Amino acid sequence: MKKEEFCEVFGDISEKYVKEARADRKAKNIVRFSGKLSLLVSACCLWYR
Amino acid sequence: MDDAKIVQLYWDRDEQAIPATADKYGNYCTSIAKNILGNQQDAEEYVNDTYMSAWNAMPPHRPNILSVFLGKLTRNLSLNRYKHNHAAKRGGGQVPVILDEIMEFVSGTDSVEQEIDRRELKKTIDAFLGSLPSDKRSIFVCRYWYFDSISDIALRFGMTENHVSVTLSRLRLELRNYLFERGFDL
Repeated sequence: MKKEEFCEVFGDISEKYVKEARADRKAKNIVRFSGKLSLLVSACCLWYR
Repeated sequence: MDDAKIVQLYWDRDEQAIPATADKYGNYCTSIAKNILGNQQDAEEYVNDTYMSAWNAMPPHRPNILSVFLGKLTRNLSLNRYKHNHAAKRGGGQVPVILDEIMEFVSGTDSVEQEIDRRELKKTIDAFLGSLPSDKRSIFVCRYWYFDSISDIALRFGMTENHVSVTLSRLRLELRNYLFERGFDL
């Protein structure tokens, strides 16, 4: 089987796994953003003092 | 706007369906197209094509999960574009590296004798994914469905890039063995 063909078949996997991975991608992005935000807030507090 | 309302706009042939889709799923579709095509301009073009394909598909189609339906349209359109670009030796985002990884469990040749039942293969891959813990399954799907880079996966899942690479390598080997044991000599 060609790799491109396998890629196409993989595109048809169960929707529930694609949805689950999307939720994980979104959740982790929020964690990344809130992590950056808290660093920014801490930096601002230190600077203000 | 909730998904059922967006789908209904398509069914009512209301052109507000497109901005409503772009508003809710534009970034999501763009991230998939950008992972595959490797540049923002092409990605935005193919996301617009995704909206047109959705417009042409609904009705008669009524997707179960709108995000997955749109993601799949974006993935297919972008992969087709990738094949075209690849023939012209341009761009490609994460795809060349990911296709090399896939070569670990496929022969890369088309054998007439070896007719693969794609529906059975899909069912077996689903069964394999179902046997994995959810975090490993998501990492695998992020890499081979969403075409996420190793560094993005590492950041999102709080792992080192090396840990992600090793995890994916083990999962590819597990999938190869799983398929082979079930008669899929790809």
